[in-house]
Amino acid sequence: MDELKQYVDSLFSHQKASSETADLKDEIYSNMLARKRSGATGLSGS
Amino acid sequence: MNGVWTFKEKKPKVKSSDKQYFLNSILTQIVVRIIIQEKGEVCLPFENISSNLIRGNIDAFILKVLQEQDRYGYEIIKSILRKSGNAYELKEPSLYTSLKRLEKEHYIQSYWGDESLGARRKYYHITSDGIEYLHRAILQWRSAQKIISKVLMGGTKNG
Repeated sequence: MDELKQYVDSLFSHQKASSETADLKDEIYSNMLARKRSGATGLSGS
Repeated sequence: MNGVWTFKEKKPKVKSSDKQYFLNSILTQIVVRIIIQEKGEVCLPFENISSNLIRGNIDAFILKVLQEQDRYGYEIIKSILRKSGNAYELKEPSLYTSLKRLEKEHYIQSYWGDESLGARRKYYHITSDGIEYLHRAILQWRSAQKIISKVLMGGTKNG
């Protein structure tokens, strides 16, 4: 498992698992991955 | 607190290059509170937006970029940033909160795209109700803009 995935998982570590939180986790992960791959740490000025 | 949980910034064990990314990412800059409401709805109430004027138009911003084409979350942020001339970056917690609200109001619909580069992306599509809402929001903004301009930019004679 990659470190970004682990990081997103850790954000939800205290949350009871549900399909909704799983979807939100996937969505956050994919968006953070897209941001990372775009090379932007913050978008401003990018 | 019943039904409310919080998580604080984590310090994951990561490489220094990734650590810089994490530190700069919105999710590590903030203490995110996620409230799971009774119906299982998720909202992220954190806001870090300087202008109430802008905050009041976030839904319309999102609908505007979705009117052009379906987009996933990060694309929405990038599109708004680009349209604002790099002047306004929508924060991710605000994005998720607005998307949830817009979907609940049936102004947008979501669907999962194909798994791309190891992650499935959630796309959003504006509905006909969303287009109507956007048109109303634009009209309201024009009216408000006229009123504000008259008051703030008008003459001072006779009050």
